[in-house]
Amino acid sequence: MSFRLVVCVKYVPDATADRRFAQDTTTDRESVDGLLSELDEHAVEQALRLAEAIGDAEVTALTLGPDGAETALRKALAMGVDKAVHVQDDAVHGTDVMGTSAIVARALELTGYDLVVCGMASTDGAMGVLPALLAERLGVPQLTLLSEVGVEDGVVRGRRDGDAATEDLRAPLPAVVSVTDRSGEARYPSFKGVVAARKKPVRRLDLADLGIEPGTVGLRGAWTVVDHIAARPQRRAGAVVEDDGEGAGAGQLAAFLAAGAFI
Amino acid sequence: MPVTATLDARPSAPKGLLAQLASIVGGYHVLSDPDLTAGHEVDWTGRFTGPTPVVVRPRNPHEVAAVLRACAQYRVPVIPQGGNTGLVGGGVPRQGEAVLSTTRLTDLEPVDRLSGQVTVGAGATLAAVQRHVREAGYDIAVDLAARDSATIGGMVATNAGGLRVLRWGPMRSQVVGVEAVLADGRVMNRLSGLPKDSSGYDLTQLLVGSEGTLAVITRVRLRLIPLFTDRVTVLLALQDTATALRVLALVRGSVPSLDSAEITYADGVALVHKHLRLPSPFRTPTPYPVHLLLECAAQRDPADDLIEALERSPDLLDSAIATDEPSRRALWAHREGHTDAVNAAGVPLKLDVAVPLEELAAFEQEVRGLTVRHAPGARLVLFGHLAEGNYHVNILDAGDRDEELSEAVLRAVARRGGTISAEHGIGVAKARWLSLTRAAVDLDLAAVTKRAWDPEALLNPGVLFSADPA
Amino acid sequence: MSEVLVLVDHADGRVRPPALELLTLARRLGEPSAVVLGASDGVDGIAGQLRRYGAAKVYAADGAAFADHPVVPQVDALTRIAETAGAAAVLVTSSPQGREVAARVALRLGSGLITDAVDVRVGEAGPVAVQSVFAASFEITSRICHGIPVIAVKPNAATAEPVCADAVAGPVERVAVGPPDPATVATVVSRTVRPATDRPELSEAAIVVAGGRGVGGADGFGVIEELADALGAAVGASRAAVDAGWYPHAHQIGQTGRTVSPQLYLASGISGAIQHLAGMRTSKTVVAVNKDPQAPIFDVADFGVVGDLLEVLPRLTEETRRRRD
Repeated sequence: MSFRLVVCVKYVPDATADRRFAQDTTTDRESVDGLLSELDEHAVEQALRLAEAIGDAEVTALTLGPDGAETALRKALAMGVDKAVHVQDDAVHGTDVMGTSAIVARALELTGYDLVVCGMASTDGAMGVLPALLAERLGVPQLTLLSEVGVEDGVVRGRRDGDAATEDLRAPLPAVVSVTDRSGEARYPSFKGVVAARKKPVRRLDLADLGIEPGTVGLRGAWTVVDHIAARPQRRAGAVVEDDGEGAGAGQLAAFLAAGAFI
Repeated sequence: MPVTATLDARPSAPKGLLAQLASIVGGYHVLSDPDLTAGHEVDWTGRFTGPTPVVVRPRNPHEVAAVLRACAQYRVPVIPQGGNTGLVGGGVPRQGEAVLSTTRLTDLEPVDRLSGQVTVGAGATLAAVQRHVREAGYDIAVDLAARDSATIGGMVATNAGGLRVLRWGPMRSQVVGVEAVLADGRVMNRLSGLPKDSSGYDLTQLLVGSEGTLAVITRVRLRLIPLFTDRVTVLLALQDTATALRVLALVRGSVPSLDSAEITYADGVALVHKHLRLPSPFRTPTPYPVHLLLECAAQRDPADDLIEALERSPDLLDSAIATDEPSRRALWAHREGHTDAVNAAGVPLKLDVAVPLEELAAFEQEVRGLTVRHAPGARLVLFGHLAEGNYHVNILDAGDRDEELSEAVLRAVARRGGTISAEHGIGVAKARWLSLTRAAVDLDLAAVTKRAWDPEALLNPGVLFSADPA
Repeated sequence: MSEVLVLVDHADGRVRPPALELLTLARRLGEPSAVVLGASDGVDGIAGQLRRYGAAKVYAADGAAFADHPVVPQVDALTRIAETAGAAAVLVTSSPQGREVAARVALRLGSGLITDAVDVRVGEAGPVAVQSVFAASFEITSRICHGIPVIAVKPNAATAEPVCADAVAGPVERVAVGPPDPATVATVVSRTVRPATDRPELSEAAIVVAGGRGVGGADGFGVIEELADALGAAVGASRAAVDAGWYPHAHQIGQTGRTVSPQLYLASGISGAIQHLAGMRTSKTVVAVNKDPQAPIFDVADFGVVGDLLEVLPRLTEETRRRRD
């Protein structure tokens, strides 16, 4: 049987656009152009490279999101992914990361996988805990924040650059991995890729297909509740002085720091 | 032992003039201290520089008129200066002229939705105008890399081109009206922006490309285009220039949303990758001989048309498509990074030329040959706007052969029926070669026109005409 | 009083500063119990320090599993302790690994999870956490409404306050945790420890001096390091500087690097691209030095100097040393 790689991708607002909250305290996703999260592009790239190295392998892109999330899947397909799964349901609106992990884990089980590949975090939200939660729910090993990943003989290996140390890890398959942006440049889709993507299958699933009760997810099913959102005043530019090359700039900076009790 | 004292021979303005200027714009906006005028005395390339006795910064057309009258009274010539991003030395003092800075002429009127036009001050930067009109759902059709500093007035004065000439034409096509002040202080106001006006000579269009020699532009009325929400950028790897032209011809006719077609070559791309540390957009590490960047803009997915036009093309060695902003910016960096990369590698000789498209492939080969022949150690980097046949020719390490090589290239341009300056203007840098591509009758009419608008030769002397017309 | 568990980050027999901040926060919510995992012989020394900062109890679990397998042994131990102690809340430092531990513990406990909290307070219905999102444009106050609150807290969220002058001796409650099921964990094949410097850890430091493209080269970072040392600060680098090979990736600050939230952030030769801002925007005070007056960093700086950092910083270093003496 072909080796099954499944890449979890997220459709996110463009980070350079202004972002807002909607009335119900969820992120306002409608008003901003979205794209395949840059960090997930690396996950797609690594999955494609692994598939190329393994040979008899198949890559599926999986996403949970509204209509627009299709854009993220289309890009993954255009990059070379073989097929896609789009989990979509109105009841999903406002789901927290716990609920998301439940939905994605079920979708992964339904799809079938040997290795799940995720990005290191989402560019909106940036919690970075979804891969760990998936591993917990699926009962498989997690190898996260990898800059290198490889598969051989039923084992996945990876290199993780942590705060204090670099570790080489290994684990039996099946497993969940996440890769960082240092794992390698993500490829651009080519014309051929875009044309081929149009013919690739996209499987649509809703909560009923996954056997998940709507009440356990969404805003009402969340295990955290937002009490208050306050727009923080934008950082305003403070004083800016021009250095004269003779030390005036440093002098004034030192005075500022002294006034703030930093020196 | 004799002591030689070096005198700083800076020009100084008559005290009466300084006082009069101060009474017009306020003392704060009359600069005569060399430390303060220094920034206005050298151009962006660093090659053109000269001292000025005074920099004056008027706030509105009335002040501009009064300033010009005062300078005329004292017979002090004037250099109009905007963002000072010009590349041909046309905006900096040369022989002790006064500098009239337009940077305070920044008023932006509300966008006129009925006519799809807007009137802006000549000192407003392109970026400021873009932000202003985009908020109203419109766009301005010209875009160029220097958008944060280049001013609208300067762009009109040089008939700036930029990245979207293919679809929208150069600055000339965007200008529907101007307000300008003549050397004697009279104000010419043609800001109504009427799309149809058959009532005599088009003096507005005469000012476009006049490089500050006929009048000082104070306000400009621009026609606007819709703000397109969907863009697709593709980078195509091709074998040679002829192939790029073939691809261009293919898409030009069948893809109405095509905005830009930019060509780059392997040597320039390699420099960009090295200097900007950009990874190759293709999976092969060594650059292909030619890269063609195409961009389409529409209200709804422009990729379809483009893909349909190109998917069966046998000429594509490779391709990369980007539809989201970050990916598009990354692809554009391979083209927009050329100027910085070349500047990082040395001080280049720069030419901005255009030839008819049917001559382009042969011209490319000719320029390469000329470089080898006249300056054997030099490095040539070519890139440019393919659809206009416009190359930015950059030559590094030409040493003392740069004059010789420039002349050889410009003569080649002339022989092929091209222009010695496609979008940068003539300034002082290219005035002496103007006769290569403008016939004697053209030059005579130009001289007569100059005398008619500026009989005392007070505005931007030395620009466009290599010696002031008698 | 209810027990509030604090998972203690430690290295080489020393407690990392954020743990002391967490203990201080935990005192607002109940009685802090410190949890020290995988410390082997260093436990007692660490425990004394923890009690000094308010730990009423100290739990410890140890074994080869903690070194051999990432995350899961910590999750096993912390979950067991939380259940046995009937904890009212669990606080963890919000680092990449800390968040993973917190998430898996929360899931096992059937609890909600809040990460990257910049403050934790007592609320009417339980602990309330404050987060700063969308590059600090919004502040969110939220709480967990299911299970035991599990909160991952960012360093510098509070000033660590001791409850007494010296380390306090006391018992350590040992917890036994069995080895994990091999099919469910990764194994560490080799580990290369990064050499520790005398400088504070980047994510924990109160002051960060960061260098960007304007530094001009690896040598230029000497100027950055000297200033950092004079200020007792950590050193950071922008992506541009790291990509150019001028400073190690471990010090990269930004969307794909580290996120820091110090009291003072000094951006030198950094333009202020949005991806960089994402990594430092919640800093309390931002100061910038850049040659380019148009650099976007000046829009978010409380004080800026337009000038050459290679000139300005050494003078500032001198001035700093002078004032300290």
